[in-house]
Amino acid sequence: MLPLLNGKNLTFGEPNMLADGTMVMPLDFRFFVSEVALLEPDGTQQRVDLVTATGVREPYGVHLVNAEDPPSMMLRILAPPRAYSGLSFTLGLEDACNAGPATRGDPLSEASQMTWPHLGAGYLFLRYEASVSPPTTPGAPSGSATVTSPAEIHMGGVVGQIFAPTVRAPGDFTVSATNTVVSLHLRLSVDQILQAAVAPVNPSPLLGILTPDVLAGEALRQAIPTLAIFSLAP
Amino acid sequence: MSVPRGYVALLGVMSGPVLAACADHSLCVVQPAAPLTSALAPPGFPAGPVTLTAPPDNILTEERARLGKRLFFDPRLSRTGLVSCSSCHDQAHAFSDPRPVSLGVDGRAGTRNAPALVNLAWGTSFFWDGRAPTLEDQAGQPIQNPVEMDSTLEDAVKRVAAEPSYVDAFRSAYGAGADTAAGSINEMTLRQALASFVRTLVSGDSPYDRFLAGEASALDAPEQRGESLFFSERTGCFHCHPRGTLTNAGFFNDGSYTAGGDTGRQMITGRTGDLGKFKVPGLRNVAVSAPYMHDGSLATLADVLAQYDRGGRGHPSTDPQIAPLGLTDDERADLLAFLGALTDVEFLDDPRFRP
Repeated sequence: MLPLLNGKNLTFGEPNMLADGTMVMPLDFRFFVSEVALLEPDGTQQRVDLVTATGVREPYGVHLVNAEDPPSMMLRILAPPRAYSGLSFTLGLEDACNAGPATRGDPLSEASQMTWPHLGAGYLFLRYEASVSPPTTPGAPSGSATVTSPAEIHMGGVVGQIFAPTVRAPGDFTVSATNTVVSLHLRLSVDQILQAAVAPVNPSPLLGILTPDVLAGEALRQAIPTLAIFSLAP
Repeated sequence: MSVPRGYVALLGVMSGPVLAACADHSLCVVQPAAPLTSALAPPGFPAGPVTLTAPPDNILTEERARLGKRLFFDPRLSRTGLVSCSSCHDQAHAFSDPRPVSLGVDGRAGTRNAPALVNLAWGTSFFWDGRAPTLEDQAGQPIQNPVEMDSTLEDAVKRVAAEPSYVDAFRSAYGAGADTAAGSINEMTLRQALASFVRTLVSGDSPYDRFLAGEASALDAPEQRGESLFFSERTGCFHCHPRGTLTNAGFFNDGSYTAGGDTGRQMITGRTGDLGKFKVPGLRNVAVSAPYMHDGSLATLADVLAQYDRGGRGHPSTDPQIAPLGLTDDERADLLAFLGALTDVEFLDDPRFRP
């Protein structure tokens, strides 16, 4: 998983400059990936298992991508040998999994830092937190600059009501052998995530949780079908 | 597990019911102390026995835990033979140190507050800066730290191997071991045994645990108000201390960092954004594990609440989620009541954890 911001590799935990001069230092960036399906050229979808580097199926069929933990940035699958034109996956958890207790093991334990305690159940699907510094203009009074990038995005669901979105990552690749662990090299547009999070949002699906971080997350969730956040690296 | 009042306490290794003298001079049956390894996960933790938390290369057995306990209390692990793990991890304080920073060999002062050793079996990293990925890795570091035990694992192994009863105990716990002259006593098994004991330090019988398990009356009214407040956006405490484990196992700059101070997690990762971050501790028994924060700089829980209420100490690296709260006196009192309800008095006096 290669996160890109403003045309460059995003550096986690370090200052990254946006096009308008805003400085963004990501402090937390993680999301769940589940329900991976490979897309065949004829449109057929092939559900596949997420696995570890040694080919062991991921617990609960869920992978937690965590920018703080570089090994987690790689998605691996077991797939039938053939040509594919991309993949799709759930950016978050499917509803039954989301409804389960946080007393499960990793990656669904509280140590995932993805529990959604506002509601006493369910998980965040994507969590982003950053230190954001507005662009500095020579001569401008201190504090006059406008912050255009969100400091917090908490995208989650509500069991039975708000569901995790499905995303697609186009790109041709071929699996040449059976029982081979396939590493998926994905690019991730952080720009699109940040821009979608500050777009207008319909708050009606939310259950009274209208804090800025949650509104940013819901704005992102609602926008995802129109975005192309992920792509397979050539 | 406490021994019923009026009975002669028979502690140590017991394999079955034992006849003992009661206070009324009759004979009665004393049930043996539960094994160290018998604990189940506290409410809200990943369910199952604590034995499930051990890694495959150091499965948790009673022999290993008992051996680890003996080592935990043994000052021979230190260079001077005067400092043991228990010197800085006192059961009465949830295996923490009531001093702001601990004193190691020759009275050398450390730089951080010795953390409580509670429910670390479910931990994902260890030390305030998370530099140890496993309990086995953690266990060897204080032995070698110049301001703690100031020894080497090699010397510690030699001293332990000189004691015949240790040789037997290691053989019982880890097999015959032909790799060293000391049999199965080596640096790895020394660390593994210590980790095995720490893994058994499970606390899950506080009023809050009983409340989580469904006993609504386990918390009184102020404690329940404090619980509601703790798990609300009004305070946001739960973002780092979620409902079950009371720690999200993460690293955050909670506002304790000041310029020039201990840089914490940044020393491990080198990242700018990790300046002043420290591991989020679990909070069971927090009321007895003063002083607080990584440096022991806050003497009381009231001081801790006051710091969070102010939004930290003002350094710009403070996590954006830390902001002034404007707590009322009643809210502070309720939060303190709730934090007090996290105390598991049985754990603090559990005879199984004594030398």
